Amino acid sequence: MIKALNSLWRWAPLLFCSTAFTTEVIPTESISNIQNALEEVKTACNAKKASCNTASSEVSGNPPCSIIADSGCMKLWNSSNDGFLESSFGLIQVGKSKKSGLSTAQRLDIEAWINSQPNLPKDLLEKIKPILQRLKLLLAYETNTMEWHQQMGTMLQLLKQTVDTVGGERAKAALPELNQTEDASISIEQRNKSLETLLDFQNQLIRAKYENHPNWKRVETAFKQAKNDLIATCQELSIPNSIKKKFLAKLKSIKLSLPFPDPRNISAPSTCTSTEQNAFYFPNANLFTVCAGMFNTFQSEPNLYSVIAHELSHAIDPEVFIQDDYKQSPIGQVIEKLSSSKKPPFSCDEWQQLRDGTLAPIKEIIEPLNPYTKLTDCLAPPLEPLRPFNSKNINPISKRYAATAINQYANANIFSLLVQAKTTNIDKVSDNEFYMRPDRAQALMTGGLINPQKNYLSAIPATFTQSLTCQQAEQDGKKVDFEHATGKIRQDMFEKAIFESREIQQIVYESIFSRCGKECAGLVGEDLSRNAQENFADWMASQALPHYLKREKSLEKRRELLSIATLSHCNENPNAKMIDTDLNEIEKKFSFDRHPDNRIRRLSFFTPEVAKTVGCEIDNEIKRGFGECSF
Amino acid sequence: MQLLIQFFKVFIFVGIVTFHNPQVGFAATQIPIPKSYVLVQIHGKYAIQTTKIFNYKKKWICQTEDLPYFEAKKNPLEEIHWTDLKSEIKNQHSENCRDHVLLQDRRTKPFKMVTGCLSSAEIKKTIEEINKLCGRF
Repeated sequence: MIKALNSLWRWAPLLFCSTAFTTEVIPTESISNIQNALEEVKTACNAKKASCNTASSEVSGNPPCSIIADSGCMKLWNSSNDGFLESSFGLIQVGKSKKSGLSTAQRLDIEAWINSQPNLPKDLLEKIKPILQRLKLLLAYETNTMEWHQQMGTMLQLLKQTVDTVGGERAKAALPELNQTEDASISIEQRNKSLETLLDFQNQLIRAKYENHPNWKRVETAFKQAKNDLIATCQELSIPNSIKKKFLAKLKSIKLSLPFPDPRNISAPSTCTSTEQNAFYFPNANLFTVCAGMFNTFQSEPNLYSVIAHELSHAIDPEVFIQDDYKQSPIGQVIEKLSSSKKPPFSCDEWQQLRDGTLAPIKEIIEPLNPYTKLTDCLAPPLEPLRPFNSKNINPISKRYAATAINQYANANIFSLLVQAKTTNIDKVSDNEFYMRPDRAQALMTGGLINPQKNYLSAIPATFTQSLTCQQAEQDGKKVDFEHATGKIRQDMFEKAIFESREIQQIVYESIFSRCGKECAGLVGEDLSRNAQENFADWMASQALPHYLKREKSLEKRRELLSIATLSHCNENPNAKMIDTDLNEIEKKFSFDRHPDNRIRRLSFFTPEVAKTVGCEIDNEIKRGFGECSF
Repeated sequence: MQLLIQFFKVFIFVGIVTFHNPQVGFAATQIPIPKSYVLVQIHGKYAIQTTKIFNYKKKWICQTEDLPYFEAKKNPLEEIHWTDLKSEIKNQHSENCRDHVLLQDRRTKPFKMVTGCLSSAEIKKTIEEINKLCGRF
């Protein structure tokens, strides 16, 4: 313990060769860490009943790992740096401009606009050139006055409006029919085409700003390194070969994408293209992105490396891995076929066979065995013993979820819309373009795009249409289908088709739950599972990290690199300083939030292998994290 | 002659800079600090996005971590339909949630508050509209 304290004072300033321990600016979490270390020393001294000499000159050995874990954040957020940090591994600029209070993320995004001019489409450039010139001047003459901010705000609004106007013109040009006909007579396919033109235009702008930007190029470099290291890590894992093979195939096929807000691609939120400090993995497309706010402010490869290694790990996290298995299963394939069809894809005989087989209710749900259990039990132990995983507990939940899904379509009158051959607009009767067209009806629920991505989890309009097409009943001594049925018989058929859709959706949920078991994110609130997805991604990233660290020869540099790699897990929120971090950590266990407490995330990077690589001692603080878990 | 040309060059340059310098003619008014406001927070994976919305001299002002003062073109609070949001959250399974949203009206006592998931339709729509009006483009 004496050694721990001595090392604390001895090593911490060395990490960045600066005044990292200016007490008035140390975040509460770090103060509590130091207090804990002091407490440990006091207890040890009392136990030994000996005097404790804390002179650092007499101490040799390794510093406690928690000191390295906290040192970067303390340095980044001390009063002199205030969110800006320059090291041999790059620049971090998560703070605000002292002159205007503008965030660096915002400033860098505006600069990217200004620098993108040679790559912008001519029609847009013509209109926004004066705005960009004005923005450039505003950045050159920053002040913290209301007037400056008014001008900045006006210019940003004008830029957004002009981009929207040009995008709108492009979308309109893709629909020459629009000028000749009334808006209401434009078909959903035409609208889809217009929407796709608009999305293509938005993607073009993101490419113009960032495709060749040095900050994005850094992401590409870090991606290659993180991907190779994760592949190497996977090969070292003690897991069955069959699973290892799947892990490797999945990791090898994952792709990086610019942050396009495009549902056909990665569907990033629009703020991800400008200032949002985040990163996302999209399981449907096996793609991931890093938002502009993150790669602009973290111009440091080790930081991007750890963020990217985390995102890549989601490709094989417990839920995604098990969902991949579901997607390949007969039921996943049937749902995908239904959801991508323009009309019922199965003959009525085939449908009946499916209802008796693949789409039949699951007789008994039992807890599945999966390769993650030992690891995830360690990564995310449940607060209380989980309820038994069986049909009795899973059936009602699946039914409730299916009812909620059907409710969304019923609220939007999708089922009625699908069965009406004609539609009335004021006094004009015309063909209903949604009549028995589940793909078009689904597009109404997803912003107008027709089948932007494959869907394995839900095909409600298609299931309904398939079910209705295959129904027959006796009316006036004759067998009739829905089209020829009338009155009560017709109503019963309609209702039965909605019921059948709900039943199939319930079977889909049961099929997924019976695969993911205790790893199902959707069952966390039901005391049937715990969510280990985020901890797993952090854990995998920490397993890959030694590969990266070992490329650095000097021990000092490795330590600096590691503390920088974990800087995205600093708690810069000023409100958080008012929160007791020990209690916050306990409180987080009761939250459904998938991401654990920031400090725990930082501490968890210190696996035994990482500690060995950077020559630090795993202390009690580090043991609060999950770095020591294993498969 | 050369000196005269140089003088005019400098004069023209200074003239252009002065003309374009956004500071010229500004009375330096400090940006306001709100006492009561509506708070919109998104708890993401790596950072928290915070927007404070308040009324100042009959204008609707948004304060974000990116822009400390942004005049909204119209009242962003019109986009928050508290009752609809509350009823949606009632029917939602928020445990399967990536980004958590907190909406809190700190102008009322007790605070009016809604928490939910960014992926749920009504919350997503609300946040998108607020973002648009508050300069998060």
